[in-house]
Amino acid sequence: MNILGVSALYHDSAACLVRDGEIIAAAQEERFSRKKHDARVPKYAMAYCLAEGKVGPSDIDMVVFYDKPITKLTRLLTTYMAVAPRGLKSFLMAVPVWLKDKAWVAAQIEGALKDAGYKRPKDFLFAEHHYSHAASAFFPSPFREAAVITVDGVGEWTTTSVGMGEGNKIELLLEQRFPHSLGLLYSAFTYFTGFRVNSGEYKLMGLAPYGEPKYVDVIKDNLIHIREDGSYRLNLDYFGYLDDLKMTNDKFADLFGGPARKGETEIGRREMDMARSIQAVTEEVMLKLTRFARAATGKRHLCMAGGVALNCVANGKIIQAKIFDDVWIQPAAGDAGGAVGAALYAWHRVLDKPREADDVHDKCRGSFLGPKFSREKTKEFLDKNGFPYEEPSVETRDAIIAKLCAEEKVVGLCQGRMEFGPRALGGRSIIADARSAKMQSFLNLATKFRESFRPFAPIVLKEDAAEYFEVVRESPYMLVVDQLRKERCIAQTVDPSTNLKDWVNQPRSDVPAITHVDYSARIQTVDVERNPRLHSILTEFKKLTGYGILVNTSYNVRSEPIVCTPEDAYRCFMRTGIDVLVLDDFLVYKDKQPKWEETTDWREQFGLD
Amino acid sequence: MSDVSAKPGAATPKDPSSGVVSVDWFPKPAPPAPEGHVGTLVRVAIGAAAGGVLWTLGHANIAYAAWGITAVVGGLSLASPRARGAIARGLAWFGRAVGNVVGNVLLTIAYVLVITPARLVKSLSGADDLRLSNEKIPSYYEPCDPEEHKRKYAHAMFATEVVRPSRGGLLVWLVTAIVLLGIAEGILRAKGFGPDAVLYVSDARAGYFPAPDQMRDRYGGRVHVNHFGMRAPDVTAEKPAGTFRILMLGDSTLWGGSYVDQDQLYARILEKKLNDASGGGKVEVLNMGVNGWGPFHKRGFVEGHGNFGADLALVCLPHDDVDRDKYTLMSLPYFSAGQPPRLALEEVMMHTMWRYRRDRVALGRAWRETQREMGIREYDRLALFLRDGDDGAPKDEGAARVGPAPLTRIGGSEVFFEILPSESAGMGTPSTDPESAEVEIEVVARLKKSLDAHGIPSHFPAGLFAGKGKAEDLYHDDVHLHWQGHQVYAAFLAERVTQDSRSYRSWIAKRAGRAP
Repeated sequence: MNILGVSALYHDSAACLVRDGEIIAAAQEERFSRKKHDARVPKYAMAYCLAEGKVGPSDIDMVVFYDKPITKLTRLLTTYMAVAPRGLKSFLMAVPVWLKDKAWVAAQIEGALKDAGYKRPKDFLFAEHHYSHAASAFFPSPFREAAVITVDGVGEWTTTSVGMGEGNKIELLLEQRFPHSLGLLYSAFTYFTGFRVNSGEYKLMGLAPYGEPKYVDVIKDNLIHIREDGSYRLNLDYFGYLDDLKMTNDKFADLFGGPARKGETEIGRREMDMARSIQAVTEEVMLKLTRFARAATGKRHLCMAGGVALNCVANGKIIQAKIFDDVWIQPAAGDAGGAVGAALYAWHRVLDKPREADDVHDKCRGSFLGPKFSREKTKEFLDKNGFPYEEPSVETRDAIIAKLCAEEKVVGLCQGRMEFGPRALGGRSIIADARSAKMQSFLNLATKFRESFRPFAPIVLKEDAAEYFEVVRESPYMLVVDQLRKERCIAQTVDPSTNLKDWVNQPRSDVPAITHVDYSARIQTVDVERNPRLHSILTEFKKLTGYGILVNTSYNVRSEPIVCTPEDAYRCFMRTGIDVLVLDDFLVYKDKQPKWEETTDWREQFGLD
Repeated sequence: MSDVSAKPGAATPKDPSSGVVSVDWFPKPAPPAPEGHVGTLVRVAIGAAAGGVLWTLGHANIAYAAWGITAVVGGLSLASPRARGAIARGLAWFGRAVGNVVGNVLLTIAYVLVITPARLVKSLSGADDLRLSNEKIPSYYEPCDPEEHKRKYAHAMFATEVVRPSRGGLLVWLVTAIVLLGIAEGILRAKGFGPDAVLYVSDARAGYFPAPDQMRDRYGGRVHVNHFGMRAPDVTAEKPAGTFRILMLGDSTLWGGSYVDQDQLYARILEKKLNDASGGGKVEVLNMGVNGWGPFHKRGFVEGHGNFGADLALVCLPHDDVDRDKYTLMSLPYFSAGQPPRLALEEVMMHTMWRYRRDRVALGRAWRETQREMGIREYDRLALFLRDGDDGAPKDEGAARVGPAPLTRIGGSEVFFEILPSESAGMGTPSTDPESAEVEIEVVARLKKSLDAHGIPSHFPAGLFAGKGKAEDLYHDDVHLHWQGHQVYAAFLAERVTQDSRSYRSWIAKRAGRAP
């Protein structure tokens, strides 16, 4: 049975094909449309998933949308009924979109399928937003039974839920409802510190270690009231999202001593301190919530999803607190992952199909659920364009890549299937030597064209994780932050009150490129089963240098979706400071390529994130 | 690490989209089919038809313009696919622009007329769907709907769940309702409604009249009802020797409403004026004005109570009270003695229901005409009754009086009819309801004619209030007076009595010891 899960029309639209309970393919629309956080009906992603599964034109048994549009509309109208006559501007913005698009989502999806040559699906379902998240967290997890936590901005009404899964059953028990939302609270700070809501949250998280938690009491005294069980209430007097187009209002600005930072202006001490403070509050809520989930469900394992579950610093704190024996987080924890959850919910709950789990192996295939491209296609592309390349033997290829990294070359990897979710895990990654002192700055400014403070994540051989990090021993999806082992750390000499650039550029460990200012790192452990090629490159690098660790960052520039095709990868390669491009079996060297010139500023294509 | 080989924005003649030869990485959805001639022909047909409709409606110039635009657009579209595309885009843009404007206007109206009032109602009812209040509860979690409900509605775009009323929601609603009712009760009581309402007694002859011996303070006006149900000082049934007594019979215009203080009533002012003018003599004015009374009630009252030895009887009325039948307390929103309203809301509700019923009784023109004729005849009888003690109606031989004897003697009074003009007639201004004004003139004429036939004087001082102040200061509504109006009317009545009343002049002369 072919079930197509779809998430769309908010942000990060995506599709997922589940056949007889197995995830066959999943992809975000942005990778194909090349529009970051593309929210449109994912016509390309759906077409890809169906093609990947070789689904015949009449063989779509079920389409499952990841939330309930009318319930969402009800929430919207209820909100306006709580704030009117304020909120007119927001009403005039929101309702036409509903009338034009969101209320007709089924017709839009069926239209897109028709355009792709598929007949109308036999059945059309609508899962609930947080059930989609919960299903995406529990059903593909390794666990036979587990507590489930979902936390995001908002679904229909729910913003946070606590439940549990057992076998093929899943049930959410308690919830928090809009407008009281930890995700929206974090987004409010994202907005106020000058980053873009729904995409800049991870920047705020990255900024947090630069600041001091001096606003924690201000936040807890005025903005959020937290109970011991992790439930909370926001004081909506300070927020604008009920009745305005902004996340915060003047009262919020007064509380923090002035107006919101404008995007692209200099980041000041206040923004850093605010980032650190809201991160601390978020961690407090998440830890209390997790303890409550453990007590309420009695389960030994925990599954998490929802946008807030992408907060890998909080995730790290949860793991370090050892509240649960083991924690599994959906790699595509945001709304895109709702496509996976919706499809699996239909399979296991609506159709009541059994589920197998062994408490060890998950079913996300290392998150490599996207397209891969054949050797022939890639060769055709390179040949047609006359782009010089080398095709080393399989035995030597990884050693060559490792050697290039050791020579401080920046290597772009476009190999195997593309990752599903926000993280590049080695399929569409840029890798480099973590030992290089100047690598963080170079990658940020010359390769990714992004803010200099942004940290980079390490990939480390799973078996070597203990050599580098304090607690975390397995993190295949780069969703956990841990501290670098103390013996590797170097005391920082630059005064934090000096300018950010000097602070960032000082060495902090023997692997400075992946060591954040607080000696933390967002870890991806690499194992042979999930990621054999990346494991091989790391192994070769270790042979050369003694370090089984490299920098891994997503293969894109700022505001650009992660590359999908070799063509995307080549274009990005030529636009940036990447030295060598790996297209599966082919190595493409920058210094051997024809001169690359463009008539327009390609960055305008992507805008600012 | 190498230098970035291509600086963003470097201007070269080579475009990357043409510089890189693409391959088919994966199947892509088919692009939308280009628009063919069918769409163009449909548009031309619509344009031509619209022109035809305009021409038929007589807008020839606009029709020619429509046809012209249709011809140009259609011709260009058929001639060139590029033009067709541009026109389609233009029309789409135009449609979107118009749609946005219309949509925003409609949505704004909906927001103002639906969403905003809905918020007000929710606020008043204490609803807190978003949990914005600062609840002191140990946990902010709420239970989820059971998962089986979710599965049941898996095919629906909506969930089973709705925003649940907060804990004790029913209690909140109940308390809110009680509080709101309490506030309404308080406001109404402050306005004078409630247990302090004027009470009435039923009377077989008069229908009803105010219960004796009441003292009320409502709407800022003091009301004192004496032992006989009159809004007047206490008097004896029999006229004291040497006193000049006036019995005034009327409806609500004489009663004066509870918004006029007892001492501001024209009956009371008249009494004062006459006493002032009598040079030490005693004049009593018995104000038997009762809300809703018509001719039958007045005659019935006299039949039961007599003239109270009145030297002069003033029958006071607005023109339309001749239309009143002899309704009783049962068909009026008044409360009986011993059964006052327990709440102000009860009184208001009773009055509202009465108005509702009254406005839905279809009496018809024939009924009104007949009733009017009967009313005028009844006034004739009342006048004769008051003056002669006999209304002149034919009596059956064996007919005997029913019930107890009248309290006082019937007859022996000089009688005047004082017809209070409506606001427009009194102010001498054109009426906003010409038909009503004509009826007033006709009824007054008919009544006067009928009374004239018996030698009963009647007065209808049209224009009396002109130049005496603003209408809104003189009149409370179309027929009832404010206290300023009472003063003017009292002066008029005093003049009528002093100048036209034989009995009064006789009493004055007698007091002065000379022949009248």
